This record gives sequence, structure tokens and C-alpha cells, in this order.
Amino acid sequence: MKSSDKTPLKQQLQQQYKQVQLNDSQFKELEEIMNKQHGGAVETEEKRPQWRLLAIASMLLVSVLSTYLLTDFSNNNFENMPQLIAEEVVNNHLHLKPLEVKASSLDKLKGYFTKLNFMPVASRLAALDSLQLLGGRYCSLQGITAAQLRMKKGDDLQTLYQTEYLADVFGELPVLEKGQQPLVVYAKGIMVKIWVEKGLLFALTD
Amino acid sequence: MVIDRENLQKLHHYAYSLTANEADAYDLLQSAIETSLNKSCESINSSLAYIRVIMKNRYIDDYRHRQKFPMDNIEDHSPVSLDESSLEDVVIAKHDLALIWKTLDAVDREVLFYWAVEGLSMSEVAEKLDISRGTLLSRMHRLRHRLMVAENDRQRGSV
Repeated sequence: MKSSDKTPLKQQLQQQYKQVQLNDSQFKELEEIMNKQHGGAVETEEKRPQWRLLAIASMLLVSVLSTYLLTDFSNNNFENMPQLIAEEVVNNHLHLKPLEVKASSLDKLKGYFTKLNFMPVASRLAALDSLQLLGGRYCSLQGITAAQLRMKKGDDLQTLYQTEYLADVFGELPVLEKGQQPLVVYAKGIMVKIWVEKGLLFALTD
Repeated sequence: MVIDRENLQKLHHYAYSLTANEADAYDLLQSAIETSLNKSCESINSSLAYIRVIMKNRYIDDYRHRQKFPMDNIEDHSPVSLDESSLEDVVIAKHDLALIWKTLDAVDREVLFYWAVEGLSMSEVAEKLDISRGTLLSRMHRLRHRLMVAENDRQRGSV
């Protein structure tokens, strides 16, 4: 190969990416997926105002109905919420999905979790003092984006979830600042402590 | 959310930087778009950013068992070079780039994508990937070394 074949890396990369193109059928397939979300029709400027009005009207209707219907049901759902949280946490704890970032301190992790609506914080719960942080990954808890932190105690791995505490999603949970103790719930034989602290929901396997 | 073809193509390029394979890149993009439809974003830019996050997380989850995803220990790398232009003067033949492309870590391909295709500076890439600039420059220094070794090997082989 002649040396004249060589060009700057940046230029070579740009040329390589230019050759990687979606074809027409792939574009159409992706557009169909997106348009399905819009009721199967391609969104046009003319249709958009009507579509928005319909959407707003639908949301109002759903909102009114939800308020009415959920008033009675919410208490029952919240009663079961700690168990649902524990089961989700334990399932993920047992799977030990790969960490996206390794770090031994919370400060180092904070730089990674920039897509969260909150900042992971340290807890004053004594149970956490003896745990060594290993790293974390993005996760979710009951559909709410969460930080999943992996900790180590001796040879045992433990999982700590932190997510924004939303009372209308998670219901009433013990608040550490009020002097309340974490809820203790078992799932698949594993103990999970659940509490609220500094406006965040914590769930820790043991 | 409807993404135009230009942005779909950009997302596809990003997926390609992760997977190093066109077919896998398309599958990754398709599944990420399907997932993203469940969330309404305020702007097209936040939609694009959201889809990129989905693709990266899914790539890490789904592909790791087949193709080890390099995890950066952000405390490990001590900078060996702080020269931001360390890649600017690297020249390479198309054939050599094609050979080395699939052997690169996904993280390196992602960096090269942001640098060469999106036109970001190394500082901007570091911010985008949430890693320190020193760590990133160290990676690029090592990558430069690998490219040059590969090039030297090829030249020796062709003599």
C-alpha cells in the first residue's frame, strides 16, 4: 500500500461514517414505528393543532377519571408498595447486572449520574457505614429512574437504590429525619430496608 | 415524537460507534426508538439525547455477554499525555482503519465518533461521556500508540 493512500484519521473516520447509511426501507420502518405512536398517521403541520386539542381534552378527561377512580384504590395500592419495591430491588440485586461505572466514593459517582432528576447522596443510616462503595448503574424503581449502587461488606455484595421520592407513586414511607425507622420487608428470602431521607427514597438489601 | 431522517442517520452513526456493525446498529436504534416512545420529551434535542442514553445502556446490558464492554474505572487512569491534539496528526490508510476498527473498545469508538463526526473537542467529549479530560486524553494517547504500532506492523509486513 502506498503512503499516498493515507489521510488524516479524522478525515478517514468521516469517510467511513459516510458509508454507513440507513437505506430507504430502514428509514420507512423507523418512521412507521414513530408514527404508530401518533395514531398511525404522519403528523403534518395542518393536523397538529387538532391533534393537540384532542390530546389536551383526553388528558383532562383521564385526569378527572383518574382522580375519581384512584381515590378509593390508592390506599390499597400503597399498602402493597413496599413489597413491590422490595421484590424489584431483590430481583435486580440477584441478577447483578454489570456496573456502568466503578467508583469508591459518592463524589466520583455523582459525575456519572447526570441524567437523574436528583443527586445521589450519602445516608446517615448506621447500616451503611460499614459498606464499601464499588460503583453504580442507571436503573428504575416502579418506573421511576433510579441510581443503583453496589456496595461491599466483607465478601457480601449489597445493592442500594436511590430515587426521587414521589409520594403519589410510592405512598407513605418512613422518613429518617422524623425519627422513623426504615421499613423492613422480605422478598425471596432477602431483607430489604426502605426509607425516605433527604427527599430521596432509599432501598437497601441486606 | 417524530425524528427526521437527518437525525435518524446521526443516531444510527452513534449506534454504529457502539456496535461497530451496521446491522447491530440498526437493531439497537430500532429498539431504542420503540422504548423512547413511552416517554414524552420536551424537545427534539432531549429526545435525541434520551435515545442515545437508551442505546448506550442497552448496548452495555445486551452486548456485554458477547462482546465485553470496557468499563472505565475513573480512578484508574493516570494521565500520560495532556496533549489535546494527539490524534490530529495521525494519518492512516482506509484499509488499516477498517482492520483496526472492530478491535477498538466501544468507548474509543464512541470518543472517535464525537471527535471526528460530531466535531467536538476533547474537552466537550469528556463532558459528554462524564469522564475527566485527563482520563480521556490518556485513552487517546494510548489509542494513538495502538494506531501507530498497527501502522508500523503493516509497513514491516509489506516490505
